Amino acid sequence: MNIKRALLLPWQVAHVAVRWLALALFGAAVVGATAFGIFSHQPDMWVRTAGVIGVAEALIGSSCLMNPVLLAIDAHQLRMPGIERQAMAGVLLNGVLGSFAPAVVIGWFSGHVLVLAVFVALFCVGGFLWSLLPRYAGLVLYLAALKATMFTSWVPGPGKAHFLAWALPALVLGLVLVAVCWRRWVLAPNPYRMSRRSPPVLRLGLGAAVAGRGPHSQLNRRHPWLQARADLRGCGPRHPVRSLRVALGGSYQPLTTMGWLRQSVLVIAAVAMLVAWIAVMILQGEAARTFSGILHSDAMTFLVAGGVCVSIIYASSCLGHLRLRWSCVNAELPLLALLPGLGTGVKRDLLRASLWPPLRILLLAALLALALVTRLSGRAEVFALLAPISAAGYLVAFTLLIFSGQRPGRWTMLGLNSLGLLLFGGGLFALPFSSTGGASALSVVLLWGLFLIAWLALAAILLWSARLGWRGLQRRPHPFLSN
Amino acid sequence: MNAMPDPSCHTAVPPLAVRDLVHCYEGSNVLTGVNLVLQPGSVLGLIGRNGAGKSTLIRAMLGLLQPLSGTATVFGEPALKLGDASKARLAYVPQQPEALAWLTARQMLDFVGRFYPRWDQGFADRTLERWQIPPNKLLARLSPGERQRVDLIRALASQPELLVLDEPAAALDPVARRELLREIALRAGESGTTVLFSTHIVSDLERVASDVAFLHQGRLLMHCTIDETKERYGRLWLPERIHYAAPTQSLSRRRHDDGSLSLVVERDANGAWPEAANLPGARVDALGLEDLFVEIAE
Repeated sequence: MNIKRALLLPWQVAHVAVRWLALALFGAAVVGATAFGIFSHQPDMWVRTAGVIGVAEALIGSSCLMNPVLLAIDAHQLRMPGIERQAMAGVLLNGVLGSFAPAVVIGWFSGHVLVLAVFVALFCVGGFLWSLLPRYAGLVLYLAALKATMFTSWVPGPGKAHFLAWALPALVLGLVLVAVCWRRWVLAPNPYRMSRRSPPVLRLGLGAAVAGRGPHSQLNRRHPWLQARADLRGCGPRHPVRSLRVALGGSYQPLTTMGWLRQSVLVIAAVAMLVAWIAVMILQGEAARTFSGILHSDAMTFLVAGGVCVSIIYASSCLGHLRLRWSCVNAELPLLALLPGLGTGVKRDLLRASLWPPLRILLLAALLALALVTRLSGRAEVFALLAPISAAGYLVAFTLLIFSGQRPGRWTMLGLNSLGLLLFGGGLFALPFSSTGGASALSVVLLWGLFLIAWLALAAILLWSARLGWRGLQRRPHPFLSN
Repeated sequence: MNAMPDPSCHTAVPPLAVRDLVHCYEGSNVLTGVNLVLQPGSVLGLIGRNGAGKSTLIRAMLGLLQPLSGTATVFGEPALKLGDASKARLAYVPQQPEALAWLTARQMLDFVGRFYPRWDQGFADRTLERWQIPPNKLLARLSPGERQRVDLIRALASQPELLVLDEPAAALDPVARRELLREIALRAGESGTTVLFSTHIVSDLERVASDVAFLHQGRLLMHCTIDETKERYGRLWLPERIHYAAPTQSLSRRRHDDGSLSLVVERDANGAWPEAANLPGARVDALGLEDLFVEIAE
């Protein structure tokens, strides 16, 4: 077996943009967190440093590094020899390297190489499992991590004695589970056939592309009882905005109460589970005996980070939906372009129909974040407020670009992606450091200075993009031309 | 059955017209200076191979894409800036329609019907039932053939004066295809609806079209009535020794293994074949529509 080829394989399988983003994210996490760990003088800072690197490892493990399973599935179905083993080796080698290399670097300063390697490897295996297990298992993993951060006496952290006593068996168990899941999906007769048990690696990103699923695959997968029903009351030429919302579909369409409940039942169930879990933890009271204690616990950092990710994912999914609708030449565009009665103000109505529903939700998220921030003294929680605001900025700018058929230049996109990565990724990683006051004053000033510059640059690029989109939309004879 | 265009309508504004239409995708030409006028009441079959540019031409004609150059008009209005009145007079069914997949068939027809002043709800209900389409099933869950039929109902229920269909029979079974052709012929014959449809199926074209336009590699090679194709075009076969006499103007030219040459040629304004046809050894064969299509497209 060629080790070099195996090592490179997961990166060769990944989409080129995802590959570079993942590498940049991991590099930034390792360099940033290590530098922060070195310059701060807190004795347990190396645990937080490893935790930040671990989160980056988990993100990469759940996205890029698991793509070879798709290769293994195809190789097995095409009866191609050797590739399955190469794919498995590629995943393992990258996992080992990604866990041990940073551990050696941090261990150089702190002197706990094995503990740190196992700690980071746990995150990595967690990422693998999230990718290979059904979606609901992913939620359980997240809750387990949340619980582990609050009940540190039950589950000793890497800074405490007996950490390896549970971490090593857990790591081995995780690896066995990964192997079992891998084998199961590779040997499955029809792995790309979607069901509730299908793992994210087959549902999202490259998996969805390999499976060749159309834009309405989710509609097909959902049980009829869980299908949202559009509310057509009031639609027609007199209410073009409402009519356009129906035509945009997805989260834009107005729903009947029953339709909304049907569509949201899974999300409601997940949120209810999360709330119940937190309630149980509060009642059991350990790490956080008071409300203030909960707000300042690491678990809250997890929740804030989760909320930030959700607002970004929501904005991205809205944009993805619009991008898809504006790339189909045989779907809603011809229908809308030739539909009489939408009137002459159709561009304005389309913007109202496409911007207001998601902006309303992001505004709500920003208000929630604001309420949270006012209760907190931690500085990095401001990030929780800025995330939905910048997500809204992205949404407006890119919605205009989609409708205008304009595509920002390569450098603009590179700037936007880099800044987005720096702010969202960096903000998430900075949360554990600055919320507890563990960092030195200089590093905090540097961090916030850097963030401020990055936010301003991001705002400038988004404004420029929105202007480009607006002008392009004004130039178009009508907004229903496909891109 | 060939629908007969009403000669009295010819003085009216053509429902569809394009002039010098040019378009390209990623540097390669898809349409190269296409000129086409659709006469009121005619049924024009647009034929061509895969990738010939049929769908692009149709979309450009209706203002669904912005061509690089050239003009397209619908009922005399620029296609890219159609008013509500013109939109209400036309209906278009794309190839493999996917619109509004999150609605049921009944919801979709109800939603769309609210925008058309002459919407025939009775026709929509009856046809849904006749074509055995489950009205309360999400469009996303219907088969491609059923989706196509729902979209055809949507188009026909708006009682359009101009009906544009892009490969309407592609996903239909033979029974549904025949029903569709009957409906088109009926609309054209009784209501004077102008129809433009693209197809690969020559027999469909012969069954229903009054005119045919042949698009090849982005160029419109011919546009005439169905009857004219049989009389106007032929295959000129020339043995090797008289190659020199081959006319320079021909729709296709093919050299055979034995050295002979065959060309698809057209009669001139006086109805005469090219001079080479009169040479000893030369022969002109009549061509059916399918043979003509294959000869030109190959």
